[in-house]
Amino acid sequence: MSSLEKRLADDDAERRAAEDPGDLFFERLAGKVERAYADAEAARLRARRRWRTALPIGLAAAAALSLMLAARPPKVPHKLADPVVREQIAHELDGEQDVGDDESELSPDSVVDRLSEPELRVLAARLKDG
Amino acid sequence: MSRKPVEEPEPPEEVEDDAALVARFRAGDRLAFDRLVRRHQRPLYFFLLRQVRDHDEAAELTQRTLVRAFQKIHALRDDGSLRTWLFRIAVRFSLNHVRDRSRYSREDEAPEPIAEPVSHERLQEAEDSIRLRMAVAKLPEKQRLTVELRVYDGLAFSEVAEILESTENTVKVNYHHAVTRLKEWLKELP
Repeated sequence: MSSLEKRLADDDAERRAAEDPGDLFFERLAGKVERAYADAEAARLRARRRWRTALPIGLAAAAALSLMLAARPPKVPHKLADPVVREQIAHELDGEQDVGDDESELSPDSVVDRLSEPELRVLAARLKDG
Repeated sequence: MSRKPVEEPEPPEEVEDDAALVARFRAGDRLAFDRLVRRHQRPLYFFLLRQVRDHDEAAELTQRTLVRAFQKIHALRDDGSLRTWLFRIAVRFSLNHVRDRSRYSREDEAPEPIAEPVSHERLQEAEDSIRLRMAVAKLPEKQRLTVELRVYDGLAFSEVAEILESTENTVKVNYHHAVTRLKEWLKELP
C-alpha cells in the first residue's frame, strides 16, 4: 500500500470513529430493517393474492367479450344504408337467385334428392335395364 | 444445590459465512436474516454516509438497500457474494439519491470541519484531512467510487468490478488514474 493509500485509509478510519452513531443506533436500524422487510413481504403477498382473485375474473371477462364480439352481426357497410342502393342490390341478388333455381343448373345429386320413392324405383329399374 | 439447566449455546455469529446464512434465509430462517442484517448494516451505512453526508439519509438508504436485497435474493446467483450484491444495490440507490437532490453539489460542498482542533499538530492534521477528502470528492464518479470501495471499504478489485458492473482491468486502470490524480492534486496544494 502506497503512502497515499495509507493516508486515505487512516483518514477514513478516523472519520468512521468520529461519525460512528453507536451500537444503539445500529440495534434500532436492524429492527427497522426487519420491520420494513416484514411489511414489504406482507404487501407483496397481498398483491399476489389480489392478482390471484383478479386474474380469473379478468380472463372470464375477456372470454365473454370475445364471444360477444364473435356473435355480433356483421356491420352493414355504409353504402348499404342508402335504400336506393339496397333495393338495387336486392334486385341483383334476386336475379342471381332465379338463375340458381333453374333446374338445368342443378347437379345430378340434387336432382336425385328431389325425387320421390316411386320415382327413384323407376329410375333404378331403368338404369338396371341400361 | 439447584443447577441451572444447560442451555444449548448459540453458535457464534462469525462462524457461519454468508453463503450458509443466505441458504438458511432462503429456507425461511428469520434468524439468519437478522444475522446478515447485523453483519452488513455497518459497512453499508458508512459507505452510504460518505455518499450522502447525512446520518438520517444514510440510515434510510441502508434500510432500503437491505430490504431490496433480501426481497430480490432469488436473483443472487452466488450465495457467497452477498456483500458485493449489497454494495451494488447501495451504489445504485446512492447515485440515484444524490442525482435526485438537485441542490446537492458534491464538488462545491466542503467536508464538515473536524471539531475544535486543540493544537497546531491537530490543526494541521485536520487541514490535511479536509484536503484529502476534497481531492477524493473531486474525482470523476467511477474513479471516486473505485477508490472508496477499494481503500475505504477494503474490497478486492474483482469485487469492485462486480459492484460497478465493469471489468477488473477497467477498475484497475480507473484506480491507477485516480491515485495519480490525487497525488498530483495533493502536491499542488500549499
